[in-house]
Amino acid sequence: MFSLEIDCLNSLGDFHILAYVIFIPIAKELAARLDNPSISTATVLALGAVTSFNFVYPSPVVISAAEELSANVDRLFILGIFITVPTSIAGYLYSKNLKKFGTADFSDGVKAKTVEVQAIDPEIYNGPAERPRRLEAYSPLFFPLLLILFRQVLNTLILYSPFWETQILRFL
Amino acid sequence: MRRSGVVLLDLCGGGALGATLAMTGAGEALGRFFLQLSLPHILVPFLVAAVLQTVQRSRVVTMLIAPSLLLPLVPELWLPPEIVILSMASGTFLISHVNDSFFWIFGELAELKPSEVFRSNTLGNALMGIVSFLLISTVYVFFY
Repeated sequence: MFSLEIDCLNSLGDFHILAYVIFIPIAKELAARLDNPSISTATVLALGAVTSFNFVYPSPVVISAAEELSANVDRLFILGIFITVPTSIAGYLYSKNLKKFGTADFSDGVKAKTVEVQAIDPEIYNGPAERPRRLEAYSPLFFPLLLILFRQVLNTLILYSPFWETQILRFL
Repeated sequence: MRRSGVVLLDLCGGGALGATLAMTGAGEALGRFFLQLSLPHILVPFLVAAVLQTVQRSRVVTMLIAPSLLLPLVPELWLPPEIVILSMASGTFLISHVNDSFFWIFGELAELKPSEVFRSNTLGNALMGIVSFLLISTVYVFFY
């Protein structure tokens, strides 16, 4: 679940393969620490990367497609986010239930890896970790996103409703 | 270095392949074929992208080629371009099998067997493609 959250935000405008390659060590580490089946964590990571790569506007393929078909960028951005969220939730639920479908049989390599990772520094895995607060951890991701969204919404409001345009003009 | 090279080659080769395919008119023929079947119009970009993704491997290349293939058909489809793009994007989800480079990178880095990758990655992608296509259709029906 951590990796889904991290990934959906971070692979905005990135290549999904690159995002996956960068985040898979973190995902493995988290799976070892939290005792999740690592196949679920990896799948969540991959599916989240692909979703945001395919749908959310600043990703290179969507930019090239939008230029070629001369689409409305603001509307594409908002629609993309609107569609990405439920889709990645579907991916998350699928990979969470992988074990229930009887598909998540651990390969021996993964088990050995888990033991090995935990043996390197047992204190980290057994002692209570010092966690940054949630808001603190996410703020560098959310703040720019919020600003971008704010701009898009403002643009849409001004462009598409004559009422607000006249209001703002009157105010100015 | 190796992986960044692959990504760069994907992009450049994808653009060139897209231009070539657009010159031959394959996409238009494919689209007309789907139009003749009198499917709902929103399905046409979805199916074109899915067919392309199955045949050639990379998701990036598919999304680079598909718009230039569909460009002559867009006025006939009577769809807004945003819906065309998103429907295409959900088509690229649908099939990701052994000729997809991501399939192998995923399996290699997560230390999984190919059969496990099939069950996790391929099936998950297919599920997400269907879910996102349903969502896009809903948006199209209710908001346009």
